[in-house]
Amino acid sequence: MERLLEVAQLRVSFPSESGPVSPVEDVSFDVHAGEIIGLVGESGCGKSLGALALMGLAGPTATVSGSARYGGIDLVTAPQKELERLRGRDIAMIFQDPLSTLNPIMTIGAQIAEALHLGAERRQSSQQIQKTCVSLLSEVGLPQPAARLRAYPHELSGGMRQRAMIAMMLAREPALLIADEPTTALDPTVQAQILALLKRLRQQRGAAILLITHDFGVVAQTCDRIAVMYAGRIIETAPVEDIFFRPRHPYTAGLLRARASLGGGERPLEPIPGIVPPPGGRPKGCSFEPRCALARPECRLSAPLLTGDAHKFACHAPLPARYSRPAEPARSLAWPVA
Amino acid sequence: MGLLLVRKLVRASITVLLLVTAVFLILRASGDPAVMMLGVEVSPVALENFRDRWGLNDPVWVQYVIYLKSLAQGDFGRSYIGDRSAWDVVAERLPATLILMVSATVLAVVAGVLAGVLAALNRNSWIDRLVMIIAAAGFSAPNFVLGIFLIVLFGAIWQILPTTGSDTFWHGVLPVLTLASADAAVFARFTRSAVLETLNQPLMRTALAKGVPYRAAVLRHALPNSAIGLVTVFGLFVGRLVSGAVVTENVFAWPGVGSLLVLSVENRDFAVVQTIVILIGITMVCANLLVDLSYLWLDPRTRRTRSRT
Repeated sequence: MERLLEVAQLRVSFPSESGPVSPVEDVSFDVHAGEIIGLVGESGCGKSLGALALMGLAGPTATVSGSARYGGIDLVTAPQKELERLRGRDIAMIFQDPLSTLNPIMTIGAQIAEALHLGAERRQSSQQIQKTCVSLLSEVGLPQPAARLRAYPHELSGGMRQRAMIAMMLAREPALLIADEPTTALDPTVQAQILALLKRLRQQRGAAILLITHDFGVVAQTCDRIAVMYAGRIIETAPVEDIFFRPRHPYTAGLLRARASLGGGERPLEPIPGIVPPPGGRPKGCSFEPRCALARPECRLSAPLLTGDAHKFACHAPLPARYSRPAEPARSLAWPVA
Repeated sequence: MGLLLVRKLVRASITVLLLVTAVFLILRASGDPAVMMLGVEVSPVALENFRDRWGLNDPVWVQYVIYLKSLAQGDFGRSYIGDRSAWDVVAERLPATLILMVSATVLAVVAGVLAGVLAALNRNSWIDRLVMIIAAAGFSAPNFVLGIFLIVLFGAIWQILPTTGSDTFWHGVLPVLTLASADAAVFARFTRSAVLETLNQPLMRTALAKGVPYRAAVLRHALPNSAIGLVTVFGLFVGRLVSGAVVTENVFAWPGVGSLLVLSVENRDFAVVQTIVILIGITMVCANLLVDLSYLWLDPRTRRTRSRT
């Protein structure tokens, strides 16, 4: 499959009083053209920061190293000018809460039109722009799209705002859409609608989507592949069924067991003991070792590397390949999606 | 919207009425205009005649009612000096003050906003520190100190600018500089923090993520959002258009309302002082009204929301 984006050993550090701290330590994954890949992890594990770093938006104080190859360009070393051209056109990003992420004093129409103007090779007439805006808004399922052009973000509901945000970011037909917790702030029913919309857009436009979430339910119903992150590292990546039925990393298995199930109510919740170590205080060996029931002596000594082919994992003491804790069949997670 | 305006106007009139009453009472308690105008050496008969002539022997509440009555008819009373209409006395001074204050305010806002934006965009650099040091200095130096400093520098030592009066354009330079420096400092500080706040808001990240170049994102997204917070500060400056120059006008002998006010207080020229205070009050009230209205215009969130579906 064609590789759209190859991220290798991405690291994001910030200066602090006790030396540099790296919330993102070692992130490697590929995004294939047209796929939906889920980046899953607890909050604070570095998922969002890693994604922002890919777009050159990690902030002026961040130091980014490693590589992220996109169509012959390394996003990590590319100059800001180059990234500026790339953003929106090749890679776009949507965020968690569109009330604070959209500009509150610009109409929805003006914000989409701005994106269209950026992409236009020559000046388009305002009627043309407006027509494109309307068709974008109806594509993302906003009712009365023409009237919505004059609405301000606060005049729309949360789901509508997220749809408008998606329309704005899709305006220039990027090949990759990074969706950072796009449904976290929404009601479950609206959440399912937005996820269905993302899936539909992937099909219609062939855009790849990097879906960042802490919610396994969201990835189960949306993603082709999953990358699980823990304490700044990708610790396991595999096709969605492999993650759910044959997890190899104890953390992945633990996350799956810690989920409330919709179908089988007889299974008690099994939380993972302990807390995620903060970026400054991670152990020398495997970051998960202090919380891991299967830890061995060597786990304390060195951080395991991400190895494997289609199913990669970074663990000295992986679960057996045949292990098949029936981690909730994916279908029971799916909402009835229209 | 209409109701809102009416309510604000009613509240504004009450404010002005309270102001007039307070000034009226304080002035009458603070000294006898007959003595101030004629001096202590004149005969008691002359003083008595003066008081009779201006109705100063009536009980204070009678004077008050008479004053309010004539005020309602647009009559601001008469100045004891030259028996002229108090309004005319003030009005002929008004242009000089407005020229001074409008130029100073425009200069202060332009310089202050530019400096503040520059400081915010170059946060923690030498530019930022320089701007903030100058702003702190401009903010802490009182106008009369700065004014006298400028007079010494430009008028006495270098002798390149006139320091008293208002005859030519050059006469205005020093008073405008004096007035603008403090205001520009205030504006620079407020602008800096307002811009820094919006630069860190998620809306800026969104603009960049959709491909807006940084400079354009600052201009189109960050600055307009920062401007909302600055309107209040700007309103304060507009409210001080008449009253802001009292000290500076006296330092530079600028023939405006400010120097007239000081003169009239010294002379207990009741009608003139009251007229000026009313004018100041109305300016302040109008500025506040303007601020409220511009919020409606600038920030769609304060408008009544349309149907939310």
